[in-house]
Amino acid sequence: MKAYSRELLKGTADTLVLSTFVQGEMYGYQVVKEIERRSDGFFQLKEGTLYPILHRLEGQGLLQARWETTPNGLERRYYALTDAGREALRDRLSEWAGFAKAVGRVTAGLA
Amino acid sequence: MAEDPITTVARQLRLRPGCRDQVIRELHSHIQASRHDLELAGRTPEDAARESVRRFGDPAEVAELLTAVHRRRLPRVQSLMAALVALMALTAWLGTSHTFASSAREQHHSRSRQASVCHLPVSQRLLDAMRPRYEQHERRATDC
Repeated sequence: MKAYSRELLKGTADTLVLSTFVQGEMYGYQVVKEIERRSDGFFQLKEGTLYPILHRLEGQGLLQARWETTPNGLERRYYALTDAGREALRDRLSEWAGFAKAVGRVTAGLA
Repeated sequence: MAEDPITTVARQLRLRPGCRDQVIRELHSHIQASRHDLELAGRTPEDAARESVRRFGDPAEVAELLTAVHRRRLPRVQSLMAALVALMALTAWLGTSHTFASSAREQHHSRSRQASVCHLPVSQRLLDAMRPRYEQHERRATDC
């Protein structure tokens, strides 16, 4: 990922992470893979840096977490959107759509 | 064999033991899932271990970010508790000084002495009212 993309990612990482939980709960590794899959490999996060984001969103009450042990004994910490998280995501997506549209109007035909 | 980045994170995390253990468990689980996935994709165990470490990123940075996130959760509650303790100390001091003043004057000023001593239960009630909220935050900070 190029430097400018990394800068853009900083401002949108929370929204990208919150978006992955719309379909249901997931654990950290699944979130990384889901973001890679949906972006066709464009976003390849340093995986460890996802956890500070997840924990911050949990601390803000936007995500809730629970532990589960798989049948083969592996532990997973699953995250899910809270009601506040859904509302925050709706607000952010609406703001992002307005922002992207405005950038598109300014830069139309230049790229 | 590649070094497990979780060892580095564990060494550098500055959190309460309960919280720290939970964070380590989660990161350990991540590395396990990553290795497992890579092995399923055909990598050798050694190669999968090396690649999962590379994909994890800089463990020192992760430890620093996690420490910052978890430490940020408490200060507001701690400040509130400090303010309440200060309030209690102040009301206790006011009560004492009123008491001394009253004693130095006359016994018939006992009514004002009683009024000043009444400040104490007010601050105590405030503290009691805040306790469930404080304990809830404490639990969250310990359990992450």
